[in-house]
Amino acid sequence: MDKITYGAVITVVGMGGTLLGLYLIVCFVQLAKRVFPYREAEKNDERGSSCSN
Amino acid sequence: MLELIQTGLGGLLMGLGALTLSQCIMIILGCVLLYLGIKKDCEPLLLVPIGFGAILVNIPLGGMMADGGLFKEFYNMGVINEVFPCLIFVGIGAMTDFSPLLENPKILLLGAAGQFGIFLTLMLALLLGFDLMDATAIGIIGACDGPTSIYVTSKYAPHLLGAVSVAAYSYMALVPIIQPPIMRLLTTKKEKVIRMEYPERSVSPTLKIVFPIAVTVLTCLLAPMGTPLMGTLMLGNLMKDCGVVSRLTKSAENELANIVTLLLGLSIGATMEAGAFLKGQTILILCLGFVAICLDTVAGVLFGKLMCVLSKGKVNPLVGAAGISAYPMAARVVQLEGRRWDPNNWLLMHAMGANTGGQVGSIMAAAIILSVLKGMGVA
Repeated sequence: MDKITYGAVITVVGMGGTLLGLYLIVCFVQLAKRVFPYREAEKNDERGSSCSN
Repeated sequence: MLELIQTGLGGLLMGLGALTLSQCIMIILGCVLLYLGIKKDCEPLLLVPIGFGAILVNIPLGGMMADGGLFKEFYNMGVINEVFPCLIFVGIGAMTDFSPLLENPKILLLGAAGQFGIFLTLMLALLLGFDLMDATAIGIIGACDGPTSIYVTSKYAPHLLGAVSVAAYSYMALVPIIQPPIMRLLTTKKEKVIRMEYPERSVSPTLKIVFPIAVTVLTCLLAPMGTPLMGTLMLGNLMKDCGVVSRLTKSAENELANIVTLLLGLSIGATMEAGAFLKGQTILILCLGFVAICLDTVAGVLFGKLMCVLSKGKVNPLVGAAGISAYPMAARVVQLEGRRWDPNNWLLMHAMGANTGGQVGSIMAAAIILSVLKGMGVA
């Protein structure tokens, strides 16, 4: 393969792979937000701990 | 006796006698970098040590980059084996807040679009005659991320380290000048004034702890060659958000980051020896770096427009420009540009989300390039 072909492969796989990788993270975060939902108590805990520091 | 004095005086003038025109030019260039850092406040933490390093390494007979020389030791200790960029990432991770990204995770995709400039510039460099390794190092300037650029360049094209690093850090500092005209050109007045909603819920502290661990495992399995970069960034972030190692976090974001920045800056300056730096190729690299950052912005804003259409007008395309790694400068540029058209439009948190997405995206892009090259048996 010549260098332009190598470059084209890196470009296509790179752009697609970056988009895919970040899309997987988006899917994970959306799922994780359901598994670990935000609760008011956690907010209070957080405030409490920051005050004690 | 007189002859001895003459010889002694001759020794004092040896440096002056050995000074070449190209070294003089490099010393002036070092002073220009110092001026940009000190007077213009362009990335001073890096441009000051880089500029001073460039001056020192071009002093004839100074021996800073000779075998056993001070800068050669710094270079071998942290650049050639990629230790400094990774340590800097621990510090960056400890300073980064991923909350805006976790509030609105879809915005992370803008961080992928903001990396397209890397690949387009890589192709452009190949078409201009650079070999694959050099083109990869030049393209990575488009990551808008100093440590990532240094990591990839030191691996594949160490002879270009000076030019690539100076381009990466200089253009990062010039983001407020480079991006706005492109943002204005690619968006309509109606798009510029779109207001984005802020979700009321906050992010669970548990999610903030799980996020860096999961991202590390996910991305490193997908592109294992990027493990040192993603791993160290997420380690720093985990230390910050887990809340039980505050001493380590403070050290990482202060002492560690500062010491490594100093040594890294001097080491980069040390690569700017006249013979290696003063070439036509360097000018071409600086031009390609500029193109890379412009293309990143174009891709980010165009992807933002696509998200605007798909979300039925809920995403302001200007936020797409923040999908690069220059954190938090790119987010601030988006906020200022948004308020220019609607003084009551607050895009900052969304832009911060896209900006942290750009940080993850730039490492992801570099990791994929490294893994693909390894997979193809080229590197």
